[in-house]
Amino acid sequence: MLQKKVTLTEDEMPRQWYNVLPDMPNGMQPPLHPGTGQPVGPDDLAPIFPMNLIEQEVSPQRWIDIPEPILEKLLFWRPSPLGRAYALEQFLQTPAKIYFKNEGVSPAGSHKPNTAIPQAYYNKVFGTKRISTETGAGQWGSALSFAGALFGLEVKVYMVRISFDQKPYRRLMMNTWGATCVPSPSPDTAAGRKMLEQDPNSPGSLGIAISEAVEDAVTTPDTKYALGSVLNHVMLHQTIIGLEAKKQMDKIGEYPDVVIGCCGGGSNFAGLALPFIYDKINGKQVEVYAVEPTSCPTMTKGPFLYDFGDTVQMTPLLAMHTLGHAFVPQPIHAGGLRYHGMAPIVSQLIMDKLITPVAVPQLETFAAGVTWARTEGYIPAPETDHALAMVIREAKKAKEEGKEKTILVNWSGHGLVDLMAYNAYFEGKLSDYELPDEEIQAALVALENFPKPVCK
Amino acid sequence: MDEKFDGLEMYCPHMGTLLPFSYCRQTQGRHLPCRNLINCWQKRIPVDAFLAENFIREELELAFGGLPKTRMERIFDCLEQTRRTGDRG
Repeated sequence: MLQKKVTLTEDEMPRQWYNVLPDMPNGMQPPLHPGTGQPVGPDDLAPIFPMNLIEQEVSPQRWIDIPEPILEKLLFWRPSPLGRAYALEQFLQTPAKIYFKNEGVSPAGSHKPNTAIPQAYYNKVFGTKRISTETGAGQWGSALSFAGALFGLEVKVYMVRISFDQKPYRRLMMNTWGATCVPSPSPDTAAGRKMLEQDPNSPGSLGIAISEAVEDAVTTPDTKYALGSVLNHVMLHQTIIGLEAKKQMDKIGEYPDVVIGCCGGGSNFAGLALPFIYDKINGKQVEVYAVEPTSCPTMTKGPFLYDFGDTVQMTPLLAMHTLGHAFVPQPIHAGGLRYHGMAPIVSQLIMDKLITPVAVPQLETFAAGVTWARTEGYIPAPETDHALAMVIREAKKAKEEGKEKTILVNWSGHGLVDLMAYNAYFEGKLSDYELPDEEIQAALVALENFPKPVCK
Repeated sequence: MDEKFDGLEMYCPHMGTLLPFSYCRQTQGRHLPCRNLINCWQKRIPVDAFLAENFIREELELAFGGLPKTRMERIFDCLEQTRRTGDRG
């Protein structure tokens, strides 16, 4: 019988996290405080994070011990299984071997508890009684709520109101784990009240929710703030994914040619990839793909800089020509580590050419998710679909080239709370919309009174 | 405000949920469009004409001008704002 899963015993679970900082070929540019222009120091972070996590954020140690109380909680679902996607391989008729690290088995259904639990623990040890955070669709908020329950911490989640209304199951998960989840903007903070005064029906935004959560942490005694992506210590905690995967592949005499993860804030991608990047830095041949949506191409195209400061009173926004293309100004890479919303570690490793960013369009991602569900059974989260789309691309490429190739992907979470997105896909609501010619012409007429582009 | 595209939906990679166009066109404070609106919607609707018809230059500059802030910059902005509010209180 074929071996479908590779498991580790609880004794084999890694006892240390891997910190990539000391191994990065060009180090890390320190983040600058926007107010002072000086490198951010521990004192700048102290109002919102406990000092033990701040120390981890800047630690030069390569291996960091995982405290026993954290290991005990991670054992609820870890080590997570490494699966072999035989059915998908067969469906694609590919010579590639596809392995997936199943992070959807955690109680919250994603990789997020891998850092929520350490963050809750370190806060508890520090003396924090209460943690505030923001959440968009609820994945991070539910993971932190779960972790707070395990360590007896009060958790307050500011959930963007439009998601709060549209995704009741996520907030109900938070409530079930004992957290307080309020729609943002809320009347609980000055930032929220100000927004509600301007617009009582505001649907909210991540920016407002961040403001509320930070204000809450700063103004409430014994409260700290927690973040589920971007920060170095978040990437560190997630490396347990890749460390387990390496052990599991080693058990069956395998090593990946290609490592793939979806990349929003970078945490699940980094969690799988960093231990393999350690090998790559030390001479191993492995291709590492970070996959993002084409609609938010922060890694593949860099931040968009819209320069309105021209002297001819002509906005580049209107220096556009045919509708449907040539509208967006050419993206400009601005000074290195400015990938909006991306973990600085991931950004730097892209610069160092240790990671290859790839963008995939929305419809391709949902098609990949559905293909996965119909072959391998599990329904992936929509963000996981991005990684799966790249897996399918690589598997097809292997077929075309007639090459056996070993692919490893982070199956970062299940999509059981995201079925409305699949429903919209099935109903064709997400389809690319080809404009009828008459609509294009009508839109062009609307632009007639605007200044014409001037070539400098 | 032109509402003819409001019912169209998009899976938002930032928020991790389905969002209608009506949200994307007003998600930044003061009812300004999301910074990603152009990229997300340009293949589906005449987004350039929509912006030109529904926003003035100053609004577009506010919505799209300069570089997007990193997450840490946003957090420090919030800290600074909270400190200033506290000082006034």
